[in-house]
Amino acid sequence: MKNKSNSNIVLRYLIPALLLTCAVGFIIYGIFDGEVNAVLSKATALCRECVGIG
Amino acid sequence: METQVKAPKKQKTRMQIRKSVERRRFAIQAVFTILTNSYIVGFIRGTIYQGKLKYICVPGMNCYSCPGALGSCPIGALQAVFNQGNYTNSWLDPKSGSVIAQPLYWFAFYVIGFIMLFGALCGRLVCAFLCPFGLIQDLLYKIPLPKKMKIKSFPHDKPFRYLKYVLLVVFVIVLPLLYESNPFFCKYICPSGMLIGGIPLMTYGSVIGNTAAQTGTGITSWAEAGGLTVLKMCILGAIIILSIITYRPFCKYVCPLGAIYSFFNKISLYRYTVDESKCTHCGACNHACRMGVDITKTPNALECIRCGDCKAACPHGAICSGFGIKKKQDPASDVNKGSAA
Ligand code: SF4
Ligand code: SF4
Ligand code: SF4
Repeated sequence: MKNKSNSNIVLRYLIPALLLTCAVGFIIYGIFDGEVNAVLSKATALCRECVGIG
Repeated sequence: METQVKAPKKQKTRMQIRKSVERRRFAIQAVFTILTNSYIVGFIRGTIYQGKLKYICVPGMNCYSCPGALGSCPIGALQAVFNQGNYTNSWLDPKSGSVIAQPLYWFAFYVIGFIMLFGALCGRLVCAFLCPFGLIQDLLYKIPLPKKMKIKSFPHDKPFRYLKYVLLVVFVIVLPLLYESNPFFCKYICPSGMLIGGIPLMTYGSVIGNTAAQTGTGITSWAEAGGLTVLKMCILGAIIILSIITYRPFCKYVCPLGAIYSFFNKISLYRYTVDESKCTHCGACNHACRMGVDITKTPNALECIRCGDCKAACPHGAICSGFGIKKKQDPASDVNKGSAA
């Protein structure tokens, strides 16, 4: 089957695998760095900007 | 002996296949939206969920100020972290004697990690299946209008499609990095926040009682509405009207999250493939696509939201999609084996 994409099997899986590994690494780093708390505190205090009165 | 002649199994027509693909997608969108917005107490009392699930970013544009939202909006969270880039850790350098200042967060690892996770897995498949604001636009587009007034995709709109990338850079990254406590996209543009956060909360505030305790942080009622509310209501109104006329205008021209996911389409695990040996270039897929993509030319285009309409429309089963090399056979192929499509 001649396809318009994904001809290279290694790249087909290698790039997403690398990205997924980075993604998990970033999330773990963010947890230890405390960034996760910035997310939680913003998401749990009602955001005046979101609702259009900020 | 009597021989029983089996009645031939009724083949689905092309239109039936497309309808069933659309119904299946709608069911997934609805279930996901309900699951991620199931904080019933918020809807009853006009408050928002404040528990630990909000550590997690949801894949789509789901405002964390929606009374039912259980997770965090990635675009809101990204701005929140960049807003803190302005707060600095500073210390005196003993060698130089000068004060060294370092932003608290120079890169939003945690939030970008989530976006990368969803993007690397499935790219803009999120847009077609897992985004509540995408679902809202899909429903609005179903509102009937005279045929002449329904425009799947505005012709020659390509320059406007770049607007979402500009908004991403300017309103989500640069301005929030420069000015602390100011999520510019949420504040000046986002119609999703206004629709599923602002309107219900301000309305609840006025109906249930105008106390800060009842609404969490002092949001009270429409009495607090000002110029910003008017601006965001105008943007929301324009998006609603445009969504009735054309397919997903917010996704095409405005959404910064869609802009980020679009870069993953070409490299995500989930991809589309066109089998050239089967494709006759009849144009059925192109005609079916409401995002203005010709999948035969660019199977993983930035604008493709992976809705599957083209796949269902192809009479030759030439379009495949999936996570693996051996793509899932598309529903059109059973029509291929002898249906009256
Ligand atoms: S206002 Fe929009 S961008 Fe901001 S958190 Fe809500 S949905 Fe996300
Ligand atoms: S482009 Fe944005 S609003 Fe549209 S479906 Fe994707 S994430 Fe949701
Ligand atoms: S190219 Fe196909 S999958 Fe992509 S948006 Fe168009 S119809 Fe949907």
